[in-house]
Amino acid sequence: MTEALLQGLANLTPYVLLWMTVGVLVSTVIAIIPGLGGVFAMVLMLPLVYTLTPEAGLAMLVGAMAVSGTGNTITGVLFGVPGSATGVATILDGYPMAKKGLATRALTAGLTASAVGGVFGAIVLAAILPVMRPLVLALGSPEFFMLIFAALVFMAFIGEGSMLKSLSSGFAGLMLSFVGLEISTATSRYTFGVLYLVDGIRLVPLFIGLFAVAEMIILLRKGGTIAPEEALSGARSQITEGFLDVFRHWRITLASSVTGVVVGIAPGLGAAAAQFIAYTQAMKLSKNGKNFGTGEVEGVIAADAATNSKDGGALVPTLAFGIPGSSAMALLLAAMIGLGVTPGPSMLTEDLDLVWMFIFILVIANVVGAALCIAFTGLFAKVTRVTASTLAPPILIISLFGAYASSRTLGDVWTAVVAGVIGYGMVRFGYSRATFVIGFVLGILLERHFLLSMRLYGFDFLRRPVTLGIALTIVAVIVLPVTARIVRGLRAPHQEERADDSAAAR
Amino acid sequence: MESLRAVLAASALLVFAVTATNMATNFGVEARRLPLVVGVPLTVMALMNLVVVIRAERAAFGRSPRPVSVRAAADAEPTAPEALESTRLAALVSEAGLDEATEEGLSFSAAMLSVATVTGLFFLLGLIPAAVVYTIGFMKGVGKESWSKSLLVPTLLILMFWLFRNYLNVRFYRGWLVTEGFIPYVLPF
Repeated sequence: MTEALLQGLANLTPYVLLWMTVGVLVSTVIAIIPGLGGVFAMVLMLPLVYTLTPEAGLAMLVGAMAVSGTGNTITGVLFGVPGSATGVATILDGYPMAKKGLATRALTAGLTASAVGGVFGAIVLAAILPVMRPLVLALGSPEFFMLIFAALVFMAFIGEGSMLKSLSSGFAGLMLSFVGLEISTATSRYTFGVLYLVDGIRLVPLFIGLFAVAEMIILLRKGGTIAPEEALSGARSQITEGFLDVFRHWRITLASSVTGVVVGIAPGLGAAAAQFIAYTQAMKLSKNGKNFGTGEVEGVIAADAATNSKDGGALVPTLAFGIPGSSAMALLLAAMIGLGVTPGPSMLTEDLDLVWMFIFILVIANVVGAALCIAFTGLFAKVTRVTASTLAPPILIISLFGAYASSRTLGDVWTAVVAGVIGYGMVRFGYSRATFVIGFVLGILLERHFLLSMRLYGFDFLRRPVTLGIALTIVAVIVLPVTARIVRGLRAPHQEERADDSAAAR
Repeated sequence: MESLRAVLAASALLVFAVTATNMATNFGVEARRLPLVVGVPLTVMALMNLVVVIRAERAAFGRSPRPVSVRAAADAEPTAPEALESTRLAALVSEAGLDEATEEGLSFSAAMLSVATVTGLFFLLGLIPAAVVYTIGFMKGVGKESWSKSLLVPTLLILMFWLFRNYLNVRFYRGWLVTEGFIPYVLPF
């Protein structure tokens, strides 16, 4: 463990730190633009990852992911506009503070809380590692196969949006991952005689299409500028006040950071849930809970600390089990697989130095990101004045460039465009892109574990105790809510009859 | 129109599920196992989803004013011209797919045409010429931006691509017209 820690530290060469900083900068600027979150920034940088060394490429992606919630604070506080779904809770108290002339204090408190939360998440990840290793090494292919299924079902049932649509999206993504040659018999599946499809649908153009091209279509349809003209600011002396607020209200900072980590570990809940759970919790912990929503700095601290600390928690299932709990983690997983780094047991044995590198990157990126945002708030805020007609064309061009650059095949460009139209449709009609890409990324791992399980145990692999336990949990998660709904539906007419009877009796 | 689109989207998912599952039955024993394990539940879920969407759209339709009989219409108070006009306008907006676009945004067809244009330019001319032509054309023609902004953005793009070429050794697509020999490649990178 110590050797891996020292090797992880040694991996942080100036070259790696430079690309981490590039990731932090790009992600911060993009996160400020509403609608374009951290995943969008990671997608744009994904093609670059394969031109760098694995350490530098992954450092860039992890750096981008670490600060994806930080840039939200700027638009949320200054304009009352969330940068993404993870920035909504910040507005509840941040924007009222800005209207009172306390914008700088709110920004500094939020950005400092983001950094503290992110560092806390990284520390928790480091602390959990020794516990995770024996657990992960005790699991075999049957258990991993069932865990992957459980992750998909979990995401659909506890994630945002319609449960049926989320689950359908996840399974559709799984189905799409089967395109190409089957790994054990080299049977051609769903290729329709097209040579390009023999290798399967590539991750990079699919991600670029679903998240970059689709978002540009949405932006083209929305039009206009991103934020209104007026931008509020406060005295620079509020910077110290805001910085100290985070440590003054250390209980709320700590509680929110813990909440973020716990929510991050559970696949599917995501930062959107983390911020609101932490906000509600802070309302109860604070002496000024009744004033939340009118401009209490504790509300800003709670939301931002939880949003950033969830990354440390989310890396636990991603690195240890190879099960991503969000689109950002799925993208990181895809990049690692593309670079020949396999998450799971080998990540915690042969590549443990990379895990430690991720931990250090999380710490450094959060601090650097927050410091940059505090120093250049005014400059970053101007990005929101860019019109859709200025932003969309270059981003579309960069998307097509990125799609082609990954393997220099025109087929990837068509894939990105088609995926973009499909992604737009998914957003339009409420189908989850997150579960879709998770299903797609997991499909490769699912089939590998399934084949190994069948070879070793036949269908008896389903009778292994842990596998059976996970399978029963999946069934319970599906059956219980449906049963509860049916029972409620059956009881409702009887309750109405009783209400009518009592009204008639009066 | 919106209801029809939602139903079409759900139908598309069902068609995808049924087709993929049906095709899986033609694969070998090993190759078809997992596609069937995934495809059958997907088909069931897609069917359930279609039913749910149809029911939801019917319920939403049921809440809007129903067609009245001739006698009821004659007895009813005359509808104000403004109300009639706004109803017609709302129907037109929905028909054209502008319901989620703002006054400043593009219609669905225009947005798709824009994406098709940039893809076509990329395929024919290659990355750098497409970047210049599309960016200037869109910013000036559609966005009505100033010439300075319309020239600055593609310049920054080309600078970025130059950095990628020289420091990351990334190669760009040169365009079908160049690769087929119709026009020479004159760019320095």
